[in-house]
Amino acid sequence: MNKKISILGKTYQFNSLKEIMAKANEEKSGDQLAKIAANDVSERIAAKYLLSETRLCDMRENPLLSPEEDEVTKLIESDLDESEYNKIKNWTLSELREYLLSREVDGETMLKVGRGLTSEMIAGVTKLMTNLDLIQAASKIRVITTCNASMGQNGVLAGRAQPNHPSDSLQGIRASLYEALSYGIGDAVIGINPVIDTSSSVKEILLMTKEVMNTWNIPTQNCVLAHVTTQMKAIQQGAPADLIFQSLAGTEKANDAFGINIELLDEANELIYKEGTATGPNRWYFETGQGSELSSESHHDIDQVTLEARCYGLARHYKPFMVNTVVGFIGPEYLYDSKQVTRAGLEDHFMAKLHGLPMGVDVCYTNHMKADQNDMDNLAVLLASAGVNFLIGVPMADDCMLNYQSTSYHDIATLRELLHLSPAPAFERWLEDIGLMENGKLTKRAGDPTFFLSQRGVH
Amino acid sequence: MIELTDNKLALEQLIQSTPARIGVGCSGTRPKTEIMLKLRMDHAMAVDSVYGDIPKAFFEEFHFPIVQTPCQSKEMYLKRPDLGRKLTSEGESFIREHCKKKPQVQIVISNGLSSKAIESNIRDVYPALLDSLESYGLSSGTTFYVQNGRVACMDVIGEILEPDVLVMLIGERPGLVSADSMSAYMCYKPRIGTIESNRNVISNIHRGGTQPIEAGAQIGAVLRAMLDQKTSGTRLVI
Amino acid sequence: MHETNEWITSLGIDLGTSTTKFIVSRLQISKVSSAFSLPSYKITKRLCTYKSQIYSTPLIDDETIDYTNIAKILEREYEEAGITLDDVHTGAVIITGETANKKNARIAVNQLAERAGDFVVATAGAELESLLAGKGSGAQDFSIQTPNQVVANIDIGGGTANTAFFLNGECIGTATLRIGGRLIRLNPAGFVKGMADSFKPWLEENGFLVKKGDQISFERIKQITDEMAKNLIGYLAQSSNDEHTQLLYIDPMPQSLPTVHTWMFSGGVGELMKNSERMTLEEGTRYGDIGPFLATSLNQLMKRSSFNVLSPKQTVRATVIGAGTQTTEISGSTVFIQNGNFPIRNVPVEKVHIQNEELESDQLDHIFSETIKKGLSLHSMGLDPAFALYLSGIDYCSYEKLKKIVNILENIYSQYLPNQKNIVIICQNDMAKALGHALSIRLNGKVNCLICIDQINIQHGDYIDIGQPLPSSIIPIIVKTLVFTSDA
Repeated sequence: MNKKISILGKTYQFNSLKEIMAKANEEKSGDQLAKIAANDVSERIAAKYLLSETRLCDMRENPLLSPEEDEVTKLIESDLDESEYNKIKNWTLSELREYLLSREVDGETMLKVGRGLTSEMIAGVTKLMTNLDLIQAASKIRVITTCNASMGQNGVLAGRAQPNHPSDSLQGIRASLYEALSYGIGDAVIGINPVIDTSSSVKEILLMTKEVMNTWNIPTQNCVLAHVTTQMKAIQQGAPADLIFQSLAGTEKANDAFGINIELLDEANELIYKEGTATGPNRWYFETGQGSELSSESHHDIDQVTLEARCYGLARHYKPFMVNTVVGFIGPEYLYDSKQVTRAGLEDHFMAKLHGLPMGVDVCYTNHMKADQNDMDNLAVLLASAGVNFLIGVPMADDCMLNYQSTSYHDIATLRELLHLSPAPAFERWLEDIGLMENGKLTKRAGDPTFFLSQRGVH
Repeated sequence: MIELTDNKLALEQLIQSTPARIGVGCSGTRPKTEIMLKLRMDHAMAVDSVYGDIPKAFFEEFHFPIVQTPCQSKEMYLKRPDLGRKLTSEGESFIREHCKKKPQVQIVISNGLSSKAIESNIRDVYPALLDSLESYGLSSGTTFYVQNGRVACMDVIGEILEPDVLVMLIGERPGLVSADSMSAYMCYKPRIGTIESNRNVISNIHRGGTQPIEAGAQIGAVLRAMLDQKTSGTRLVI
Repeated sequence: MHETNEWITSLGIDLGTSTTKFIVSRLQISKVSSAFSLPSYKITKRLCTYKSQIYSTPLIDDETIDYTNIAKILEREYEEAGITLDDVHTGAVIITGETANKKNARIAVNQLAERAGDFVVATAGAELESLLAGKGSGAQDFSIQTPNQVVANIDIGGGTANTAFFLNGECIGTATLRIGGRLIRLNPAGFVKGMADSFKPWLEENGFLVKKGDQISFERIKQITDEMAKNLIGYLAQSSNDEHTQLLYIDPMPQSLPTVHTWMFSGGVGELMKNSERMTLEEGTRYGDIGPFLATSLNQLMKRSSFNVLSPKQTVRATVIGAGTQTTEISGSTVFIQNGNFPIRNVPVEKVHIQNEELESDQLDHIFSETIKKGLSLHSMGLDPAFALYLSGIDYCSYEKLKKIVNILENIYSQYLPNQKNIVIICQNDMAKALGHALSIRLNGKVNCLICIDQINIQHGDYIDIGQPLPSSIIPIIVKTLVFTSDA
């Protein structure tokens, strides 16, 4: 493969595919911190030129991290659909981009092609795409998954209810959950990030959320986002969990820093299918986010977009019900400002969809990042247009436990109205049944959490 | 316009049960003006706390010597955490020359991600910490301030001054509830290469969280435990 | 994060009007803070692990408790439960209903407490009894699960009906009426074997002219218990409250009652309500009293009125389980202890309520010295500590305020209690450790023992027992609240 290019009288020489991949990235403070980013804008575009000429088989033959030294690479390799791969292995990334964007290629076809692509190829083509490319290509793909209820259908925008509380007060979580439900949010999952990472505390929260679901017959799923081992212990102690959760990273070493490996995930996988309370086939909830590998110094000098793609390669092995990138959570040293967060959100969504994943995005930022709520409004609209499976719902976008800002219950309700999207079908029927929605619109009773106090459930 | 419930008491109880911004109502699907502006104001406070500086009056009150890291601007500080873990060479020589060597307890203060955290909490935490050190019979070295420091600059300081234990009082990333929350990171014999799990931390120190005077008293107890057990981090039994 | 759990053993003993029960429970104390904050602990489980059989309360005569026999019962029960006194960390002996009026009640209960283990307290009082029964029956837990709805637990034993009202897990009031299953004693043929003197005025006013030795019919008994049920529920549901009902009042009654959404009945009569069906006179008098009749009357009334009645988790043992599992609280974990000799029992508490405005002014000095002077006038000077000071109302304690408080404390203790060797200070807010350090530096060895603990809610007039600190340095505390409705 070619590592040298002359454009407009200037010659750009790169040493490896790894370097080209990194320098072809749009500007990210994380790549700069890792000292692998392009030195200037023209070097970035030169790298993109070279990358566009790279063939898929070149990428497969030159893995950025060898399967011998990394179990994530090994898993991605062994999960690859060889027959799909063989059909396209001589394509360049440029050809792949144009194929994915062509009108004749529909979502189904893209998903089929995606099975023949490694995560690095998907990351590569992403680097050649503009923001609108990413939106256009992703919008064609529908990934429908089922836990207790299904989501991902065309025209559906689901929302995770994230009713966190700074001390895991069950009453407080419940109150915030009522608020979410009253805005029609909670169809993706009722998912709580606990402060206290103990199995007994996790179990209590699972029991409480299950009780609300049962009292009101809510077609959704519950999850408490503790460390996977804590959830496993809780489930073994009889806690009712529909989904099991874990944060993923894109290298074995970074997963090690998270206290997980594939063996542990396999064990959790077996447990959730045996003892989980869900009725449907998809039982996992994964979270990812650009930059986590660098933060644990286990990035092997690979850029953060490629590493993020590798998370999706790992995730798709477990046929999850939902995946989301917590795109702006990590901080300005990885994504400095709203421009970088916007780009990352669109990249992650597209890459995950091409991996065949039911992708949602936590459109978010921290207070030390150059971004504000207006930037989140913008990105949420872009992602909803791109067909994102779900967004995160937090009261007024302010998570009082994790101390960051995401999208609000109001925001998801607004996006649905604005872009003519609906809650997940079963959830929408439920909202209509209890009188919070009528003809696809929220009713006057919506937005009032005491709605769930005034009546004792429906049976 | 969605009118909030007639059941005011019940709503009030739900609101009281969580600091989350619930029961806020809406106009169409959008939040009411006042609650929207409240969110923007809280964010503004947080941003101003990241980018703001500690007023001069603070240093006139406490007389802490000021030492710099290579992060000369906030942007550099935010983008280059690695540089916040070092001191400038002037800074290194300053502490080498002016600070007590091998103290039992070294106290370091840094603005970190929130200048307001230092401005609002040191006045309470610091004297309570000194009381607890006295009450436990511990002595401390020369307290100084690091502008734009990260937690791990404890290691560089440890290398130079060789304290038995070091506590760093540093501004946390501001949240919307509190833009002035401070953390205390503590370590037994910090040196370059100390891993994170060897540090102990008390976080969320501010008026509405961990009470500042009580945090000061507890820091003394943790430091004493470190000295007794000659270890810190996950192995420390408190 | 690893899970930090400690278990402590707590006893409960209930000496009731007609029956005596004993339980052993285990309280789980768990760390509920993250690794990054100050340690904080909560009692997360209160499990009853042993229940005794139900004994008739041993009496020597109508007026005297048979302490020797109770002690024998307990000895047997300890063995049966597989515990020794050394295993017991905490607990409560409660003397309920009419038993509390026996002439040797106080002595008996104190002796029992001494014998029951190192840190078991003796206590009594209708409010506390109502509260404990409501906790033990499960009414409190149920009120947490049904937000914003008042749950009333009525514990009906031999002599009294103790009601506690819960809202969102908090007890918002209690009321006790003289309604019980043993107020009239009968033999199987319907002959009256005895009546509580205190109940006679009500019977007479209602035209039930019965006296010892009379034979009364099934219908007549039923009329009496129907009227009792009507008075009790009418009062609690605020649908009727005539002068007849006032004859059933025991203590000053609360000025207003909340509107009840769910009712629970515990106690012996609550147990009978579980299966009160049609019965004969003989069946109705099988316990030698009117209990089964009262249960039937209550069931019929509740059904007729379409009230929402829920079965409690515990009936007969609600109070004893409440006493055993629910009386102990724990302090905050950042406390200051210098030479404490635990347990410290029956420390009266004097409350200093500090408004923030006052803190800024010189009046603070005055408030403290007034409290101390009052304490000195009320409590025996032979005790050391004479009383504990309870600092409440401080919104935020800055170091500057702390310094002021420390100055004043040093002054008043040296001025008014110069010979006091033990100082106990309890803070409502999380500030005890800082206060302890600052004060100990100032006192500089002038006292033997300085204890500062925090995050306990105490009312004026309470007594506390302070237990042996647990390894995590939290301290079990029993607050003996005598009146908690008025001031709360």
